[in-house]
Amino acid sequence: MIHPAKILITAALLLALTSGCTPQNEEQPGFSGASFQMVNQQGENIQFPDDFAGSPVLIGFIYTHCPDICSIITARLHQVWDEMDRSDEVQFVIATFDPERDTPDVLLDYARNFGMDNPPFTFLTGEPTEVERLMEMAGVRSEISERRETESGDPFYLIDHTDNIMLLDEDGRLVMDYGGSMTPTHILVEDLEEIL
Amino acid sequence: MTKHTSTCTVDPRIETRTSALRNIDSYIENSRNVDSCIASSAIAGPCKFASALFLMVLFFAAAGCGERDEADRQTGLLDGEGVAIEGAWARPGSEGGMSAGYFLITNFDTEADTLVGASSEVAELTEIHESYEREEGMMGMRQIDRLELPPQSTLRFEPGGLHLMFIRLQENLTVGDEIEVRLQFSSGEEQSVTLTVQN
Repeated sequence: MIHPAKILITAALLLALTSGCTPQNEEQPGFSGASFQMVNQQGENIQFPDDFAGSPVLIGFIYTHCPDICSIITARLHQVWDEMDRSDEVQFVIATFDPERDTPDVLLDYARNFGMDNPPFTFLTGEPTEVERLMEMAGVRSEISERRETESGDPFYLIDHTDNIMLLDEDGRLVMDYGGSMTPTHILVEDLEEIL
Repeated sequence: MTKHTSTCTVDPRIETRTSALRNIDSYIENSRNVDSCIASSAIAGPCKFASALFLMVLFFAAAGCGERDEADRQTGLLDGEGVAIEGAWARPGSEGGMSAGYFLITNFDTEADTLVGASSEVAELTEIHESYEREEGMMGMRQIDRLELPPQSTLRFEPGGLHLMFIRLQENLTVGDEIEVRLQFSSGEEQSVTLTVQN
């Protein structure tokens, strides 16, 4: 008799084979031809993706008040950088979809915690309307899921969000859209090395 | 890569003590690398080969579950008392920000216990949370008020799943720091656990 666990796991993996890790096609958004006025963790103006032209970009989308999934995404980019032989030819970008709280100073503190406060790592925030425009083009969705006050009376909220890491080519075109927290480091490394 | 392949119970967070101990080293390593929650992603184009390989690993792991369960039954009751915590660590964080804590928690008793809360001086709030996937690929996080610990079983607090959430840190948490957390159980008992800060 077939063990039920076999059936469940096989079914789950067959489902997985048909989803996630989407290669570029005509339906996928890319950044080529678009331009966004952003600010990095040092408070400097950054034109995205223009300022990264000429290098592949691995970009993750997070908010810093998310210590679990978003920390996985952030750490994943660091792991890719750490494991790549030619990481100096790649730009690593983390963009927040919570610009109200994720100011440049907050992003700088956050980046320091992961040892990512210097190039080739760039953390991006900006005016809320510009961040919203960037997320819309990237296909990154987010919505406030819980809003309350802490014991000290400070407002606090959590955000539900899609789980994305994207690989862009040197012209800002989308090469691959990954399940951000779920994609093994070696797959990202292999894909990056393939386009270098 | 072996982290999620050994559980044959209905609730994926629960596993027998034997298989938990067998995998504790890989748990600690994988918790940092989090090549863990792999199954639902990354399976097209260049990902196909790795995914197919992963599918094979999972399939054969599942095939072995029956034998392992049988082996666990033959070993009888687990050797230990009460509730034990292992492999505890936390993410770095900045004052005023957030962090998350992870560990394995094992209930050696022959009766269920229930984790009902946690507290720590490092944060204004310390809560039990769980990350989960909502519809259409949306990831959410929810607070868990009560977490049952079945008898003779281990629950994993791990990245992408159950975790302690430290809200509004009272101080910076940097790699190498140790933080104390008190876990509260429905019996009224409390247990201290030390989490080491690491990335």
